[in-house]
Amino acid sequence: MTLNIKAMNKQIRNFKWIGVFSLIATLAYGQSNTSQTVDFGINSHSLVGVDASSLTFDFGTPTTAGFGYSTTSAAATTNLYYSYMPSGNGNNNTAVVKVQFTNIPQGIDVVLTVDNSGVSSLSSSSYGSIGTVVSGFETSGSGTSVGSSPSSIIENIGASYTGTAYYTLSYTASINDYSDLQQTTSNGANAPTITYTITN
Amino acid sequence: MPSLLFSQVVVNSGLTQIIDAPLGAATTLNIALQNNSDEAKRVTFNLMDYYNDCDEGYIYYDGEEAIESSCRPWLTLENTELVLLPREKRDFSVLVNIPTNYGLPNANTCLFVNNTSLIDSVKRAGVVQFGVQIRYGVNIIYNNPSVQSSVDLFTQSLAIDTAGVDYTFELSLVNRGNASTTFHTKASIMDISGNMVYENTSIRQSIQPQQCRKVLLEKINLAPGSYELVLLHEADSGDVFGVSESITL
Repeated sequence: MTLNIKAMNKQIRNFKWIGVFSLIATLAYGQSNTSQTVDFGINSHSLVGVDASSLTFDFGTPTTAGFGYSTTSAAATTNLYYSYMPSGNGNNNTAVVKVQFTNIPQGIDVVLTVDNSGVSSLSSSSYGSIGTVVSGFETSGSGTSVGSSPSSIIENIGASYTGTAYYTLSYTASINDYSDLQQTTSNGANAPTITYTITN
Repeated sequence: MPSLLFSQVVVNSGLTQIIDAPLGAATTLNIALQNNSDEAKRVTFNLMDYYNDCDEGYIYYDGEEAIESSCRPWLTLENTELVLLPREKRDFSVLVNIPTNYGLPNANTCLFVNNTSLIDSVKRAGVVQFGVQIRYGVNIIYNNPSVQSSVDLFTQSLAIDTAGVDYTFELSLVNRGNASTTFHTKASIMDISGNMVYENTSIRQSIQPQQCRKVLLEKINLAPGSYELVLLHEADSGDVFGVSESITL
């Protein structure tokens, strides 16, 4: 169950004096020390990967005159992995993964659900702040349509890595208008492409 | 592990780049790239403006004309594509020429680093195949030191998840000001006698103007009853924003 409290009240702003007290405390306890630079070798990085070089929807081939495709919807899954280390300028837990289709064939809709059961049990102390599935894409629902605009599917990613665990992305492509279907180009600028973007 | 995980060019310099310079200055941003493959890899680069939307996140604008708060016209990319040799590491340069007359408090755009799409060559009738592309969105942000800027962190909603053993609170904040900053949230929960029963400080997050961020407060183990939730959002700008809310669990 989720309780929602909208438009929180009693908001007060600009307690700048709190920062001032902190500064005074810092100055009061300041001492002269010799410093030494230490490099812990923690470097920023961002890696996203999936386990297949293409996403294939098979609607079945008609083999008898008078038949259409054997199914009006087809499913495909991809496992998504990532490793992320923010750059240390305060951008923790703010990375997102987006998905976007380019040149999606006319007449076809694609719905996506994201299953986090493979990563939800990972210990945060060992694997870091694994993100959360964006509302609407959870497996508890029926998924959300994805198209030519980037859709955030995983958010709140902090310093973390999925290891051998992964998110399972389940796509369902459905024929919404048979009259719009036509053969797609498999290469070049017009080839159907799915793009996974990590940004902050 | 799937080999594809390691067979791409990755960005090693963080996904947010801050331009720290006055109006009229010229500077260079260096984007660190690394080819994790044993083969030469081609990457392409393009700039795209975006708006912040509280519900949808970044909304990219694919027009030729830059939006009003874009720094895209100031940027010159070293190239629009590169081929990195196997395991090569190198910087990609973005030259920044900040105009002298820019009047808005901030500007931004996004540099996309696009790996080449991989396409399976097998093709059959009745099969629709999508090639897979991995790309990195590097947000480039400029805060104008010549313009009065403000940060205004507003707590707009609180969702309480009661599904697990403990409660989880999810706060949604929006920056109603005109400057970017980073912040963390100190949360306290007091019972009706004024006793502190929960205290936590969130991890720091960056937040741009009109951008929303979520703050998760987890493992809140409280008995049913009435409490007062007190939040302090402390921004690097020096501003602190307080909010209190009576809650009944």
